Amino acid sequence: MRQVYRVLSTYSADAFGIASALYELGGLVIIHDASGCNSTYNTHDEPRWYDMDSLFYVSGLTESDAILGRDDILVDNILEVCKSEHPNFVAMCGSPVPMFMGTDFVGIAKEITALTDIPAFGYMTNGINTYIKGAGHAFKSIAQTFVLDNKKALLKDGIKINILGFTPLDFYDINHVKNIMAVFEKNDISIISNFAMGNTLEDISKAAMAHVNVVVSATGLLAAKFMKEKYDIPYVCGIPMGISGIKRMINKIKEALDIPYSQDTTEYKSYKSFKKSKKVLVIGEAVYADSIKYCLSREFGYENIKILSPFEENCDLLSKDDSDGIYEDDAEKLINEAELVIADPLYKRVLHEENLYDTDFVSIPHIAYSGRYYQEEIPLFAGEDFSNWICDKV
Amino acid sequence: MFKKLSHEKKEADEALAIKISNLDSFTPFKAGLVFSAPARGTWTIAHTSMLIPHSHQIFLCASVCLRGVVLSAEEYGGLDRYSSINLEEHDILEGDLEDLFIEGVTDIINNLKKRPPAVLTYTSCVHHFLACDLNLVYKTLRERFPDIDFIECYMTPTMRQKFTPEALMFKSLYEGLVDIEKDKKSINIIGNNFAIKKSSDFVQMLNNAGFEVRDICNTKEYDEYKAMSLSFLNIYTRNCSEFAAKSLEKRIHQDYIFMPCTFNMDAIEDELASLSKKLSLPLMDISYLKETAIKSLKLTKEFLKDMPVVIDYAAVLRPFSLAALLVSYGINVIRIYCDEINPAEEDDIEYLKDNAPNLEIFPTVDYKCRVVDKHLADDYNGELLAIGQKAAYFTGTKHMVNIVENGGIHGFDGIRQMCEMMVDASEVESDVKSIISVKGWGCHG
Repeated sequence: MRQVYRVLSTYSADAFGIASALYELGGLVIIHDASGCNSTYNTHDEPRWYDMDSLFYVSGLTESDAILGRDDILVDNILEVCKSEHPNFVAMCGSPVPMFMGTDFVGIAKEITALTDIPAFGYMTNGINTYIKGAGHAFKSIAQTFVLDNKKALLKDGIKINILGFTPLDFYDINHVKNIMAVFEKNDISIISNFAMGNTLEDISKAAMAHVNVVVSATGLLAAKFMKEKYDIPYVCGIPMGISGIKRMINKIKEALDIPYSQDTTEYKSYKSFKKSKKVLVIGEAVYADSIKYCLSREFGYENIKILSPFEENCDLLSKDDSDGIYEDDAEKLINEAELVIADPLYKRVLHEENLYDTDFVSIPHIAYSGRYYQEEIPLFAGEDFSNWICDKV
Repeated sequence: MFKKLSHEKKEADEALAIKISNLDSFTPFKAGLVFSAPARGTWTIAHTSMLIPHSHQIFLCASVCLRGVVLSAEEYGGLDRYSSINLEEHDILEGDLEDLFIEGVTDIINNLKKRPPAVLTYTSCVHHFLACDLNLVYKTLRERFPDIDFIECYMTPTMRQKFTPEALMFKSLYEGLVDIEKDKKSINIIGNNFAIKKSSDFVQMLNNAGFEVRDICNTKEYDEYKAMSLSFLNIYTRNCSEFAAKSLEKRIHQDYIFMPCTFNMDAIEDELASLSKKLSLPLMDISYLKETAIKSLKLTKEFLKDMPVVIDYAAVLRPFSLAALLVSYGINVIRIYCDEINPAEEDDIEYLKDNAPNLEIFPTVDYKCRVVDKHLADDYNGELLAIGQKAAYFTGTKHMVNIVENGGIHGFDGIRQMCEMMVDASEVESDVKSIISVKGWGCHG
């Protein structure tokens, strides 16, 4: 039955996506709700919570404040923090109760800005949609507000990019970010900014100087589209996973800039042989899943790979054979039809007993799904080394 | 120039602290935006409900709320006893919450590998704001599954002003008990996440008098849980369990008595006297227990010398009574972390005003707690003792008594055990971050 999750988890929600996207940028971020549910974010979804301070709070909404429409309490409490902590911006988002209260976050944001001169964002989240949507809107707001209209760098001085879509929900920690950045830098592509881990608003303000935006998760797409429209910066989607994936991303960037490039004609060889007709299922966020699919297909010759993306935004990367949808029934059906599944370990729970030993299951934990529980098992899934890692696993 | 949060020592400490000599309210800190410290040892409703053996829990809510409970269940290996029904926008806008509830729960039960004896269904704020017809829902489910006890539970933190989530949870936890003929030799301890230790004064007293003492924390089978219906008396030790005790009295006619987890020796004696009177038992000889507690306190003072001690409200249910006791034996208590004060601690607070006027009270959820200096232990070369996870987090010490919600200790025996834990923690350094980051420490659901 749809909406029923007998044994599976649930993905991180829109409000948490906002908090995660904005965490390192010196803003004040508030989820308008009671404390109980939303401290979930910093327990399970925010690996930085213990060691890195950030002004993330919940409003502590009560029943009577909700019924009486006491938005003034929220505003007063925000103003108090603004006065004391001088955040770079204020961001507010909602959960189910504000949704049916009809809280006007956009209006409140305007009021906050009028009273403090601090940029403020109101997001009409409801806690029902996934983190992809929330983080996407948050990154877009940052691009709209803080990116300065700088002239593009001269291409003759080398290709410069922004990388859009980094949050721990998809990339766990800064080592993953550094790993991806290093791949580009090693190929003479320099990074102006990333959205937004290990980076500052000052870096982000220079983003319009870049030649291309690289979207590494669907959370970066809205910002990329905005910068395409406003600054005419083209964007490409993908993660440089494995040797073939690196070549693919370099070529995509060059193609976006009309720079001639040579097709990757490498004949990849492996110490293992693979059953190329094996039914493969990759479950995850679309950019990530598509990047794995490319690596498996290009380097190991798999011909029958399907993607299941549980999200509403897939960057136009899904083919007609792929699926999107978040329901357990759909996942259960697809997983039990596959011979090789690459997914967060929690998905193994829907494998039928008769398939437990016949289906190969490669676990790549996803913070946005299983939270922190398996975080130490997350491999560095970009760069050349991924080819060997995935070869060993499949 | 954009600002980055400073990680340097801040002067916010002084602005946050209230000296106990200046304390004039049980709610000394202004409510505002809420910080949540990464000290996770206390239990949540998703942990507590697992205390009913072989039960299955089903949460109905939006994903933003479900995420915490599902991942808590995952963390303690309880996903086999957990399911959820995710609410979507159309459920709220079209008002078909009842159908989704009934058919969703039916689908889950019909597809479970093993039929559970009890199903705990958690409604959320949405159900109550939208006046979901829960009478219809539960009537239908009980007709469909007459062999299952449906226990109505609540994940409604927005509605916490009358009853806290904990109080509601403990009320629900015993809803599976029924009104049957009572056994005059059977007594329950209710409303705890940790079993009160058998060495505790009053448990010893009851066992010595031939009573069977039942505690949900010790049950392994559903029948043992149901057998709690036999008891004629419920003992509760936490204020938040009062609602459960009163509800059981009204519904299944079990009497109750409150035995709070105080560290005040006079109050402990009074509690034991009250229980004796209630049961018409002679008062047990407590001299040995009391002398042992006093001896432990003196030894602890000798051991700690002037080592500063910090206590938090999540560690012990009566932090001011513990502080007063320790101060009365010369132990250097310098801070208490708590956001609200239990009025029952008034006498201990007055004692502390006279005998430790410089003791400071700090909040834990105030927005400044995010940026406040968390390295107090450095001022003492790391030699600072924290009683509780929040106290350890906020002071940066590695000497931590790892206890939450009193940890099952009680009475004079509890004082002895606390002293032992303090001495042990003063000697050994803990990996505080990895310990306190885990939710529901000690959970055995």
